[in-house]
Amino acid sequence: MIRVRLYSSLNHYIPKSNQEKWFEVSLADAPNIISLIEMLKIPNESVAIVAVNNKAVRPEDYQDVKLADHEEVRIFPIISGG
Amino acid sequence: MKILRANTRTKIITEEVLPQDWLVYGNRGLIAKILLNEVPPPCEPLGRHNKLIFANGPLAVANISSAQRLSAGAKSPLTGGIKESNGGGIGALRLAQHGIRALVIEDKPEEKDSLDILVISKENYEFTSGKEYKSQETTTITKILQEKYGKDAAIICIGPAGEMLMSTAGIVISDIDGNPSRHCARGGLGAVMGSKGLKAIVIKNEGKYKEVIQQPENYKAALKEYIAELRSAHQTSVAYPEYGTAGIIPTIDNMGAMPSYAFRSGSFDKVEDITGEALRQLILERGGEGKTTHACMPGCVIRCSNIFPDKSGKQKVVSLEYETMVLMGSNLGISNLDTIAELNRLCNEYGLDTVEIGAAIGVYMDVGLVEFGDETSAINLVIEIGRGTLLGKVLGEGSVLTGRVFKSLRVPAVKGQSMAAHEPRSIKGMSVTYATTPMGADHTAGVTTRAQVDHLDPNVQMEVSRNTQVKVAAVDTLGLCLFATTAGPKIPLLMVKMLNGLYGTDFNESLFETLGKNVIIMEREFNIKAGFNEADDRMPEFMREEPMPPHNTVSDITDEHYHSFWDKDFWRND
Repeated sequence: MIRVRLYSSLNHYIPKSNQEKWFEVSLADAPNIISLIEMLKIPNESVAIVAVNNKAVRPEDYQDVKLADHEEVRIFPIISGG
Repeated sequence: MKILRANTRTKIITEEVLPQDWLVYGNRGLIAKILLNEVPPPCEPLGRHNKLIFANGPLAVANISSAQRLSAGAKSPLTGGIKESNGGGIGALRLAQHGIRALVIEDKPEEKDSLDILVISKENYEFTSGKEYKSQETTTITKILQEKYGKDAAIICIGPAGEMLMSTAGIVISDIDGNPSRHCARGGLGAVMGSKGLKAIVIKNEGKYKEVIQQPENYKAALKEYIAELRSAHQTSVAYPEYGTAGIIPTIDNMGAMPSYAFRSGSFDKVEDITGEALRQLILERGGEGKTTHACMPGCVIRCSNIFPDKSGKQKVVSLEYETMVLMGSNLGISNLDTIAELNRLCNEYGLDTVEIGAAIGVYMDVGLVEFGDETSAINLVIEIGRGTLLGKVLGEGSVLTGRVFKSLRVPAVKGQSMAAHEPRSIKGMSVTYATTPMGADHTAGVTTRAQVDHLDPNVQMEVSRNTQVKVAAVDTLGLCLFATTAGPKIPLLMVKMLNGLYGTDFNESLFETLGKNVIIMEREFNIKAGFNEADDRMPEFMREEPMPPHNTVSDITDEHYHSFWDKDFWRND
């Protein structure tokens, strides 16, 4: 299992029970970052940063980087204005 | 549409017709035109030759969602250069309803203690005495004037800071609920208003002016599509209404671009306490008068504003925004939302720019005179500013003077104005924006945070910033809220279609580039004549040399890039 946390408006895409907190996802459902994003039904263009164990992953590596058991994935939404 | 001129010495108010070829020049662009034509750039900002201009845009009269920004502009006492600062609220609409595109406040009273209210009602404009309102805070004066002139009147006012002519004083605009909650905050325009002995402007809800729509079919189709875009794009239909500008936290903290501890770090150890989620949860838990979503301008469908309630659910501050949560929060080592809300509330009541005050207090903490995180002292310092004590007067002049008095080498400012909550060493495009915009370090002039570039690569930032600045200058000149443009790439074309439909004009999307370039060139011309040169288009020394965690980067845009920003070939509008 991996632990996942979505931030701010990305929570819009997931069930209320998982919003604004850490939730678990099985590796079978999300072996890499691309499949995790797809599984959660987040539009690609809404994702700004994906960090695995607090280390940012480059978008070009979303396909190749394999997720492993107990890893923590944070997904941050894109920014606009401020 | 007309331009109203109000002379504060003679008290005579005249009107003239807006020239036809100035049709699309509203807000920032109209301000640049008038200032360049009529104000001698070397003049004293608080003297009689400076002019304070309020302007709306060509779509304000049509009451379109998110297109009623009110701009204020003058020569800035903070930067010594041209300044435009815009806010939401109902000021722009009320002026447009009286057929007014711009209100130009001229000269200054002969009498030293003059304090007036300018009242705009149907077919009558007059100055009345406001001496009895001396030193009133913005909520008080707004309420008093609403009782007198109508709850739905627009009230534009200054607080005690503007009356004391502080360079951090802003101008406050009332919103649709009647709260004095929107701000033309940056650049000390409140001091210019105070220097002209003007406490407030009242615009009664009596205006009946309407533009006849020239191409109703085209106009309605474009408007329908525009609203549909705003209502369907994630940023404008989910992110902004649900989390507001605070939703940017913690993404920006994770980018290492959220100024913390007087710009010593780009990420905050206590960020979890001040995320957009934390703010939203607090408002929902407290309920009462609190609102997680709120429109600052009438009919705005984006509704990015909020109402922050105190522990008993009573309205404490409208609204708590990202910039304040950083400059008066993480920048000061403060992570308590109630404290940040109180700091914000005090600044609002005194009529102060929270960004500049936050930066100034940050400098004061940075030299060790107050501990980071000392919430009580931070609040007391703002109270001193509101009272105009000697220390308050220093801080009330902003980060540069504060740094000079207390001998700081770490003042985060360009052209006299402090940077905002987008760190230029982690988002290097902001180095270019802060350094080159004629406004001084102003993030709104060109936020590059959203661009799909490697923010740490200094070699790709100049063009990103420049293109953004041009687009923003056009958006600012049309009176459109920047956030509407985040709905997607169709927005500029839809704006043009609405303009064409309303006025029967024939613009295409290139209007944005033409308008944007024209406006920035005018602003630069004013600044050059005011004494600015290329040396002023640079970042502070400490940011060029002090590596900042978490990425341990410096602001390393090259001189060649800064120099090439003003390349004639780019700016020529053929």
